[in-house]
Amino acid sequence: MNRLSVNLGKLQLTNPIITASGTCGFGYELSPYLTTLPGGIVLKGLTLEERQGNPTPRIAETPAGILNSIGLQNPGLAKFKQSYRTKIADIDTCIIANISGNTVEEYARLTEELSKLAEIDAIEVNISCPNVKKGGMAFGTDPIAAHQVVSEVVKRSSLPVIAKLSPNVTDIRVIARAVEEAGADVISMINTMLGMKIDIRSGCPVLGNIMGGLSGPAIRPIAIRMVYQVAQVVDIPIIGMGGVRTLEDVLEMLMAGATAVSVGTATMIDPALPSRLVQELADYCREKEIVNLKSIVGMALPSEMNV
Amino acid sequence: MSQICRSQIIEVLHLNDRYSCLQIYAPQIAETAQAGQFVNLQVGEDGSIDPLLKRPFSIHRIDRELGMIYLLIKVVGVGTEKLQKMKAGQGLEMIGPLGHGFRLQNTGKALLVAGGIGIAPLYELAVQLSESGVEVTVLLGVTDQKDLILSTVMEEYDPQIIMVNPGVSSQRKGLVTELAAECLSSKEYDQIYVCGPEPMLKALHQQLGSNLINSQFSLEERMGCGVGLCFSCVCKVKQDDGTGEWKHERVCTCGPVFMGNEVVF
Repeated sequence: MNRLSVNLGKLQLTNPIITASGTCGFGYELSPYLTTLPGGIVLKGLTLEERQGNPTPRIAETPAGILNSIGLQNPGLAKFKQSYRTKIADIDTCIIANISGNTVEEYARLTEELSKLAEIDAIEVNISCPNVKKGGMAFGTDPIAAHQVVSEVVKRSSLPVIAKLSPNVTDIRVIARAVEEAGADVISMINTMLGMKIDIRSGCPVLGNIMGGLSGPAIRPIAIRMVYQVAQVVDIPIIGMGGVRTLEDVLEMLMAGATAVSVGTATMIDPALPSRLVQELADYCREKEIVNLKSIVGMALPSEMNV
Repeated sequence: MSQICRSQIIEVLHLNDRYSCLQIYAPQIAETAQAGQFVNLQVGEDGSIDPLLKRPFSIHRIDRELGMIYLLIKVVGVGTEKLQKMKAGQGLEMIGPLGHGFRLQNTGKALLVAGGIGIAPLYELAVQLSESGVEVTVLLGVTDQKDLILSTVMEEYDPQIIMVNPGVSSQRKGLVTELAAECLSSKEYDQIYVCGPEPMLKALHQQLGSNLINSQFSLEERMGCGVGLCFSCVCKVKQDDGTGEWKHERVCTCGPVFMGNEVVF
């Protein structure tokens, strides 16, 4: 019996640790460092056409965090199908494609094409990228637009659909309810917080694209708060992420109401971390005699919510 | 294949308040490391959140027999300040060897051009080229007195093998790119290797002309993970389709060494 297995709607994971999009390449770059596979690997964001992304510098260190402005550099759908899918074929875990588009139609076309690929097990709809001018976060900060794009993806998808939410909103519960109503199977949250850094020697912004997304331990309390809020207003499972890098952080995220937990920035620092977290969680469950993670998911929620 | 390993600092040699040389025991990395490759090194305490990221450093020197690697470090910020203050015996997590190093040829004449701390990966390269019988010329551009210590780094190891600016006095005023132009007009070089700040790389790239095809550039860019996961550290290289268009490639996994005729400045 596997104590760690979790269900995300139709999607079954062997364990609740997932590597977040944009921090594990297309899976094959990370897999040599993984001794135990995480329950899921979310690929770098894909768009219909190839994108070269933003100018450098694309990364800056901040207190307990990093700012990034990659700008969705990716090979595009055609090149992905041609030369990347074979590289992930041998990775024996749930492979989740992450998609972005400038228009609803682009999301829909990506969904249709990716649904046909045997290597892909689920689709994460990125409506929360802070680093592109069009699309991305624009869809994720307006409940009507979020509903529209997610319902179109759900309509065209034969795979489970995950909606990835932006924290750059006044009330994330409104967006969460909109994507649930649109038929999303799972919510993943949170993407990065929009931030900025200035080099005081030059007086100029550090990042080539001026602003970027903040991730890392600095945003963990915000992620915990938002997962806790959303868990109280939706019935679909949540993949919680934001600054997670230790077993304690994983447990905190589960207790806030997440069914699975993604690691992102921490994988960039230690590519073996996702495997270690799976092991440590297994050891913890054995020691605490936890036979099903459901017993800790949402533990911190108000008692009438705690099912 | 790169590895994540626990390395141990053997010695921190303070060259001056700007430069230090770290001797590190990391036998798994020393065993397979190539000149021009790098390591990603933890700079804070275990589990440090500030600084959070590991830092990339070129491998300066490899001693396979003793399982040692050496890193030449310039203090530029919080991370390097912390590293410089490390004591012998301290352990640090390290990933390496990473990236593609220099592609060495075993014959002819080689010109190595460094700007400042760009000398770091060229030391191991110079030694290996010299050992295989290549005639090596090293040019080093420095900006002030403190930088001059970098020339002693090159000189201290068998100066008969490695010649610093042969044919000219060991120091002179001017740009290293001008000196490189003089060398290239007076002699034929079969291999040219360049590492330094971007303006220097760009200037040399422009003046190399037909020599570009024999040249290799070691590039630097702000890095996130060092292993190809995050797409932070990109540079412009020519598309393979011959259209003359550029594309972004990851410096950490496709570089840090690129052929002169593929990189775009």
